[in-house]
Amino acid sequence: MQNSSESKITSYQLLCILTGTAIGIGLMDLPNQVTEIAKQNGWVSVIIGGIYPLYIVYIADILQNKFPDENILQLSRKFLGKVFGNLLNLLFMFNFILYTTTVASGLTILLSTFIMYFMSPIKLLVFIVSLGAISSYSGLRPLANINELIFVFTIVVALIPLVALGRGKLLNVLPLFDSSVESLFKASVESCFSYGGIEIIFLFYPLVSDREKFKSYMLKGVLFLIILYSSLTFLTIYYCGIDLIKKSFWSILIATKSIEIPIINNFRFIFMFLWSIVNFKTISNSYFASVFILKDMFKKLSIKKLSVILFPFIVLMSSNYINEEARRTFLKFIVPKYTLFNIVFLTVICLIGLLKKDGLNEEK
Amino acid sequence: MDDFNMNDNIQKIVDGLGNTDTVIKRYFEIGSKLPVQAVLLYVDSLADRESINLNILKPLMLQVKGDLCLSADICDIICKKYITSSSTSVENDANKAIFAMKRGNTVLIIEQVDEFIVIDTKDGKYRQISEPLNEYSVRGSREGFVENLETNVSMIRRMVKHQDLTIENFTLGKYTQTDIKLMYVDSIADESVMEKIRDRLSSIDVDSITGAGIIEQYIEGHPYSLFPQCFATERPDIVINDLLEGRAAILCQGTPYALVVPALFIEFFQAVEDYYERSILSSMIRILRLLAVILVITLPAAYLSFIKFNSELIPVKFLLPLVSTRQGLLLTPLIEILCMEMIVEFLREGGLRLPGKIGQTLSLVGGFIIGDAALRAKLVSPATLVVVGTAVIGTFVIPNYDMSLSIRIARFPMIILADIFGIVGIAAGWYLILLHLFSMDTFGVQYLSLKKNDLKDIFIRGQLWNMDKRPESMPNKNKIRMGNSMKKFRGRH
Repeated sequence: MQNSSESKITSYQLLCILTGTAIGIGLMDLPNQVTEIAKQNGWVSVIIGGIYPLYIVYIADILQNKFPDENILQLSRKFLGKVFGNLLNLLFMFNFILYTTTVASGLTILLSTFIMYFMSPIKLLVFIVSLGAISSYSGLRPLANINELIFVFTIVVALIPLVALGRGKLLNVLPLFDSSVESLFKASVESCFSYGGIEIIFLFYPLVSDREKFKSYMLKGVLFLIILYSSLTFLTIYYCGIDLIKKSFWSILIATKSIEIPIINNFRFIFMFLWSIVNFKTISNSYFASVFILKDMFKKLSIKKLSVILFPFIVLMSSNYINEEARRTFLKFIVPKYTLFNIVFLTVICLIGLLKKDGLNEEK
Repeated sequence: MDDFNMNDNIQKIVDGLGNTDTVIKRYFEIGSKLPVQAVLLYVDSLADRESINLNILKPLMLQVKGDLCLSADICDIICKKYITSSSTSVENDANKAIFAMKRGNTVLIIEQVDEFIVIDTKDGKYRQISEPLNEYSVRGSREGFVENLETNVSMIRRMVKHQDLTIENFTLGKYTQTDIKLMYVDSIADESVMEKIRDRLSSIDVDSITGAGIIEQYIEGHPYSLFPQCFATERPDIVINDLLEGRAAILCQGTPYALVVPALFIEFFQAVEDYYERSILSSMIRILRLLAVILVITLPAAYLSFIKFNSELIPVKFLLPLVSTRQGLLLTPLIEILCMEMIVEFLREGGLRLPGKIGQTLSLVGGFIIGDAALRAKLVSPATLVVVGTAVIGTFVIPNYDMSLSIRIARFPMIILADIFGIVGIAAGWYLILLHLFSMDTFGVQYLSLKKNDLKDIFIRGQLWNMDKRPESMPNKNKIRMGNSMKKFRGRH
């Protein structure tokens, strides 16, 4: 029977959590980031950037096969010692703190700019972060369920800008492939923030109940991300052209403006309403992941207590970059470094895992 | 047979029953030459006097020819030969006799015999089975539960004849000693869920249980939640459908409705009529119902957010008349909406408690006169009245009374959120409602879960021949509820 108190999740739910943590505010300005370097071929860079999540899933699959009952936190402590392992876990946790704070502040800025101009951003920020804290307080199962629901919802919302397809110009995306390979790769690094968040897979893979489906679902999830991101980037370039993209902080929103519905003056408003629900879930996931790692270190404190304790810190940190320019500069500085750290950290754990003999015994 | 004093037995029973005023003792003799002393005990007004006279006293006093021998099996002989009542039993335990007497049975005690003959003489004076008042159905049965527990059980038994229908008895309440019956189909219901229900029921230790609504509050897992976790219905056909999905029904003496547990969120939006109508019609109604729920919760809040913060979104053509009607209004949009909501709630609650004819006057005075006067007095704008009125009408589309109340209340926090955070408050409100629903469980079963196979019975009402499996969200022992033949038949044509 299906028991609600079980802390297990299905592979499909993990797929939803995985994509749910990645899809967030980063998508709104993804075309801006990539077209800056790769011009009209930015969407190709987004596809190239997809190598990162594919690599992450590849490592997760190896670890999942070899150590099905231990997550990355336990493995890092096991392989690298308690002190050093915990230190790296803490660094790994800051990944999620980074996502929580930047998505929360990013959403606050976006909303304050367009629809919430009547409220001071800091109040809005506190409210948005508190939603993340409440979700994290509820635990993994409700979060998995809400991710499942919002996954479908995201697909529907992401289909909305497709309407712009009929109004774009092919000239905007031409000439194809005239950017240098170097610039394509350089731009692909910029897309890492959008793909960031899928590292959450390393925390939850031991909780998956149907392990045989793990690999295929995770690959499907990553493919979904790559297709969604690249198609939306392509669409934005196709609709606005790279010169117009530069003029807006959140270029995808320009595409949504093309939709005209009677009664509603501005469809962008509806889109932002729907998109904020998607972002609440992104913040909740990263918040929960941070709490989950903290719980691993401070075993005596419960998830509920930690969710409350973390709240002021997240608010404090997010409020540091409540200015879009400052936020982007900070992200430009930190994201490549953190991506590098993730790749190295996860690769090292995976390599040690592969070399260790005792892992084989645990496989059966 | 032993040398036993009859008065001791009588005393035991009278002590057990407590109130001596209502206990009737009728001494009489059986036989003519060497008569056997006997006493009949029953509780006045619980037992049917006519039945006692006709089935017990008349045969024993007038039709016993010769004498009875005071042997060990005298009770059996009396039951078999003389008492014409349809149900009798011989008990050794005085407590069982007391238990039976409290429920309208009569106890017969024979001198020198330490046994009690329990005879069924329950008074049949109960409300007759009638049409369910609050759950009307056009094409469904017209039977509704009544206050009598046995009648309610019989209504279910009449329709589920399978031997796996299990009935468990509980007596709850220290003073009321109310009879409760737990019914489920053994071969379908999940054992661990039933165990949880049984545990919760048997752990109730209170003075009184006067209705199923009280039991509901003692056994539910989230007492502070807005949403009901037991499904109360007065229709036997709904209970039967639920039993066959692996749920259990709790029937309580004196309550004209059954509690179905565990109740899942979706169930409250599935009316029994949906299954009696054809699929396309029912699907349309389902979609309407879903829209109604969304509107009830969102509409007043969205209206508030539009007029307070984001008036640029309202089309200009509509904005001008809206502005002109709002000119000179005293109240702020929030207070205006809350006032109107409150008045409507007063009318609804008042109309519910008042007898029919006065209720009509109330709705007339309330709806027409106060509404019109409020407009003229510039207390509210016509648009607000339309929005609040639409939201109130929307609540009546929800088929379950408890859920419609919960949904109605859910719109108040939404209005407050919209007043502070505008449209983001509404988005957050919905997010929190969903999170809350997902985090709830009832008797170990997730309260809201969207399984792929169940979707055809949630947003729409799929074809009956296509619903070959029981709902996945409800754990059960036997998943299949339909043979393949119906699908094959459809496939051929």
